[in-house]
Amino acid sequence: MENHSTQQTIAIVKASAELHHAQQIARSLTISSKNLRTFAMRIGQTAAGLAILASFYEEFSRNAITLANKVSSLTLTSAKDSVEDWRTELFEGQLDKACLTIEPDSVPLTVQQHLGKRQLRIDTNRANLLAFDRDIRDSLLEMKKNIRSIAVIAVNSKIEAPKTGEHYGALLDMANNVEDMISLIMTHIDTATAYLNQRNLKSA
Amino acid sequence: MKSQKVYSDKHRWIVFGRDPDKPDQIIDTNQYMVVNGEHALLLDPGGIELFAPMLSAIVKEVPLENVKHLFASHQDPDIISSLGLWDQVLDDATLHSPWLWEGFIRHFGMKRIQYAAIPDEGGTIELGGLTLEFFPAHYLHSSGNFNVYDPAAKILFSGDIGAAIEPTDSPMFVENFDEHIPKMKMFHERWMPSNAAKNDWVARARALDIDMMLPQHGRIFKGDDVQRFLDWFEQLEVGTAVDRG
Repeated sequence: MENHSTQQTIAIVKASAELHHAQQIARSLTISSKNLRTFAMRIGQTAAGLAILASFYEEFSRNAITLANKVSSLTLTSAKDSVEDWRTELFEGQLDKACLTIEPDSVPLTVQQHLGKRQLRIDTNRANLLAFDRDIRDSLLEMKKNIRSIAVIAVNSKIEAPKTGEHYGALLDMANNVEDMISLIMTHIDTATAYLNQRNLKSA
Repeated sequence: MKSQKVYSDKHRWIVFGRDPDKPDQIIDTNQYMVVNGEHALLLDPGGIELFAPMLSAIVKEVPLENVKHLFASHQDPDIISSLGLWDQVLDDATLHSPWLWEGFIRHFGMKRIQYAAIPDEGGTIELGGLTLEFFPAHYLHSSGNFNVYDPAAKILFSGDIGAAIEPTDSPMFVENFDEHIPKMKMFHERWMPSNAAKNDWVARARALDIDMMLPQHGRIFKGDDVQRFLDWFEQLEVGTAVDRG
């Protein structure tokens, strides 16, 4: 990696990819939540608690999708901004090189104006990056809370499972499957967070 | 930027394109990636305006570290003007491109990527045990120009051959060949300069076993539409601007 802007871009793009994978798995959770609802309806009153769990599960998985879409969109926008900054930085580097070979009095006004605005651009970018960082971390925390709530539902589904008679095995499989998906989503979120942490915003 | 698998067996072909956020004034392009295990080859990576969405789309498919090879069919900006940015994010990568354009393509900025010049007669590339062929397509439209043929998947990446100009919400595959002709006609008549080069290419392409033909603009041809395209292209008069002059 050549420079700081490049590293910023790579980190944000890799985080975006991790969250994309988390988003794909979160979509499977909504399908699974619908399956749980179907189970609950089929079993009826003998496992009334399951119906309540199913409705919570649907709500949390919908929230998880909404949040995943939000962070995915945030990271894509940030990746584009990051590349734009990077291109501007390359351009300014070329202007610097050109200025070294021009008499100071002969530097074109537009070049002087552009380089004069450099600090303002850097400050604005830093402020935007910090705001983005706050937004995405808040969203990721909220997403984690949602996913943890689904984990609790999976555990409770296992507790309810013995009451479901012939459906016991299928329900247990479903709960185990949900736990696996949750574990994968958490891994993707943690990896994305690690990539975001790689960015040194203070020196942005 | 949308991505779609067009072939998936022991190795994969993925198309990237139809970017709804692309600036309106730039021509829509298809970028492709061949992935075999931990080895990825990016074909005609695109213009500088597409770099950010392309980078984001690629890392959703493979780790960036796996992209060790780039291929540029020719020197046009919509093919490879993003090179200066790829140069900064790819480690130990090689660009395979016509020998004719090396001195020109380097103007896009290339400090770290190696240039592997493809001779006029073509050559091959090994991608983790998969052999792909650089298939000469000179003067179609660029004077130094290559397609990429994958004998295992029976796929021909045809660059500008088979290109069509269409909106970004168009389907990825040709659905009705006759209806597709008007979208290709002007592109081939005006951008392709040589009937002799065209006829030579058609004759050589007919000798290949092709299930899918993947152009850099427009829609993918599959099955019988590949032969329909070869028949149509063979009878088309190209280089039409000369007649108008």
